[in-house]
Amino acid sequence: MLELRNINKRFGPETALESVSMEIGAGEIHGLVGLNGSGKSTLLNILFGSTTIQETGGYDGTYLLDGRVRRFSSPCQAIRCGIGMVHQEFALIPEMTVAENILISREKGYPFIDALFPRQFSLVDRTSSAMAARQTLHRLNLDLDPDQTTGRLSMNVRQFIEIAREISRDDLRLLLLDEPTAILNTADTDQLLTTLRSLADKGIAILFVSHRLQEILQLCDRLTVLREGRVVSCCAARDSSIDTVTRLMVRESVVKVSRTQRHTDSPPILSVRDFRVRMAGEELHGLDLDVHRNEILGIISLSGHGKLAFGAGVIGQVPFCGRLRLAGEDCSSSPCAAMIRKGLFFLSEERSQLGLLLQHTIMDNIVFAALHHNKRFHHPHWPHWLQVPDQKAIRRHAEHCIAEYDIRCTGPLQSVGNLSGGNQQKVRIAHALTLSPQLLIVNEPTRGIDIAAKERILNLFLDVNHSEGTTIVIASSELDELKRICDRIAVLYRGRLHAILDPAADDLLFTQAISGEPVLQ
Amino acid sequence: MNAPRQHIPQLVIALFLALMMGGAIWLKIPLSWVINDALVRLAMNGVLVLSLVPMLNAGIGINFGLPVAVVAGLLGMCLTVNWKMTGLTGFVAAVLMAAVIAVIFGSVFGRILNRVRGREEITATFIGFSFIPLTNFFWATAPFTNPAMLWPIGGKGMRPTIGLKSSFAKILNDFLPLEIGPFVIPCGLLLFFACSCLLVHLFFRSATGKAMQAVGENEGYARLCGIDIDWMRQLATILSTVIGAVGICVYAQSYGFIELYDAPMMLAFPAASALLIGGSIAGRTSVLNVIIGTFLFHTMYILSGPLANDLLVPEMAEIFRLLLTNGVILFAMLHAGGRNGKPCPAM
Repeated sequence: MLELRNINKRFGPETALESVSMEIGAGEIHGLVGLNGSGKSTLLNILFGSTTIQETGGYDGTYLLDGRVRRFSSPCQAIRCGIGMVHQEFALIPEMTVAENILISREKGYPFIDALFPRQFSLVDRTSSAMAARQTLHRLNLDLDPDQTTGRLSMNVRQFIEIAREISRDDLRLLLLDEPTAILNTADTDQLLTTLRSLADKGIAILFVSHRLQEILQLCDRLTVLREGRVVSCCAARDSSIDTVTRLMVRESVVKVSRTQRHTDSPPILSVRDFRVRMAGEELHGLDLDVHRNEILGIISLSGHGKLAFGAGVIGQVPFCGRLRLAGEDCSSSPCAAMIRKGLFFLSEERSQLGLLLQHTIMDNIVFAALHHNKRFHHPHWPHWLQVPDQKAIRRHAEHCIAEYDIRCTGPLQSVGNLSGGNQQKVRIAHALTLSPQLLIVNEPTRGIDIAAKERILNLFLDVNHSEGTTIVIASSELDELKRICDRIAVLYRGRLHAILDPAADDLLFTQAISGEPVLQ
Repeated sequence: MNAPRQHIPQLVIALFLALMMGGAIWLKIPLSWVINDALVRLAMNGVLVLSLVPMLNAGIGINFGLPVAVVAGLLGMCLTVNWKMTGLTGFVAAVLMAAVIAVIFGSVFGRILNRVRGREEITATFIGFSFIPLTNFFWATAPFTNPAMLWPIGGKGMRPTIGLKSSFAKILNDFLPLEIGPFVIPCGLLLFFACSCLLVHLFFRSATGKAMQAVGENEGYARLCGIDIDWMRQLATILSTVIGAVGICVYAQSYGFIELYDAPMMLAFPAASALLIGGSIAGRTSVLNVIIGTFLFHTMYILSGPLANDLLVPEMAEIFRLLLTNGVILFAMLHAGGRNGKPCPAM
């Protein structure tokens, strides 16, 4: 049904895609894998007619849909040809209700008015729209009131709404999914994969992009591997294994990190009691938790059960109630700046919105907080209160970080907005570590990042924990990663501490704990 | 990637300027006069334009509340004139007093702007507009004593226009003039402007300046990095107000008059226009934008007068200037909206 022949795409001097050819038949689920920056998003943008492609000079090659040559200049045209896309960053309108978002531009009108006037003037029939939305949600096994506002819902529910919007279309022929499972937990992922399979059985072609190879192999019929903008393999999923695909994606082999050294009996650096954070969709209702000095503590929960609120509350991004003691001092009402001066730093899960100055250079991003909070980069010849930065020292440090953390870039003066997700994450970690904090809280450090960068980042955490004694708290939904690097794993359930488990514990035990069943230790 | 598109306003204006230059030569308007005047007007208006930069970079937007700063400067100058300080001492005293008053005005102004997040530009416009009647009342009743400033009849209330000839008119203009043939380069004035630019430039390279820019670009990020956002915004407003107050002192000494009452009301618009022509982008406006913008805008101003008067009806010049000032603001806003509306190119 879909056929691409020799697609080439350049962004200025850089080649993003080079003679990419692929085919997808009706009813086929086709997997697309590759590292960050290998051109997956660019390919999806071309397929969906995204305006960025036109603005950056279009592409070469032939794009055939049902045997006819297509060249979309806007997503509207692509949608008219039956293409749907689920974006990695949500494309939902937070002020609208669930039903409005699902049926946007396809609202049900009153038949009487539709008969008299053209479509643009039809009067929206709210009850039948809500009904249609509920039916779609039902297909996804999602029990949700279609009249509530979308902005207040948690991330995984929003992901499902985004998918619901696409599958509610009757004319859908080809569905493009850009990492739909990145933020979903195991149960939700299984649910989604089942739905996708049933969609494919109805004859809809699906292009599925994901970093989770397991899913790809489980779900897809065939898969295409991209590396540095080129197709390196196209094979049936049945015949491949995670190992072979990984080896195709990265030229060098990836060594999975893990640690052996454990210490848990040191005094607590941070302790919270009856800690309540009102973060929309991720509330904490009275958490009691101690973080020991020099340990790596993992926090895991289903989405919506509060793992992301811990860091946001501790740093003061979101106000909290309850008691908080950092290094023995009571800090129940300290602003962000005071917490950072006391040696705490927090990396939010929202990488591009709260994590980086996208228009600034790598250099500026790496030293930003350090420049503001300690005197390390102040020019030695000027009085400190003038805060004159020592550009040479900053540049030296940035170059050191780029080499040390393996940030793939053209140099310290490259704008961070041009980096791929994994490299942006490395810049953020370099930024945090430049402050040399005593306690670092990281939310979802590996979300949406390819395996090579993922291992590199996990390794960084282990290194810094070992060499500088930094205490690290990682809130993540990737149990496998937490088990490999943490000393203890705290499981939250409904905004409270449910259990603290040893990373060596059985997967089954974790699954039980995460879903709120009582755990005997 | 779409670099040429970003420079459309400058290209259009530069082209237009070249056209007018051609017209001026054709009409035998002396080139030396144009260039001399252009240099004076660049430095004379430049500081006022520069004053918009801190607030723009802190994400507050264009300071349409410039009249607040201007009134602070006027107060400083009136006090020196009242105390009969003259010459360089007079000018320095005026600048210092203006700066002190501007700090007070700026902190109040900044506090108000911190309460109207997202609507700063329109709020600032109306703060400026409503501040003027208040000061009008003040000018009419203030107990100034120097008869040179008061109404000649009755001896109460300030005159709308106060000549500075006896105090510090042209003090910077006539400082170190460099004469090359028919050209007179006002080195003192240009030096003052250059120093102001350098100070602002250096400020934005300091840690505080970078923090201010970060607040402008991404407030959430700045907050997580432990930066006091309200204070940064207030500091930016204070800085803008202080530079604006100094700017009007420079303007007045070059012009030779202090203009009171309604005169400051519309001052913000040509300044904003000049900065936007300079290609400023909110959050990343550099001193270079200020210099280019002021030069293009004011040279065009100078040329449009005699040209319009010669070629068209005499009133044309003023109509033409208003059209340019406001048209440019509108164009730049449309342009900025279009660019921000587009998604970032994702890899």
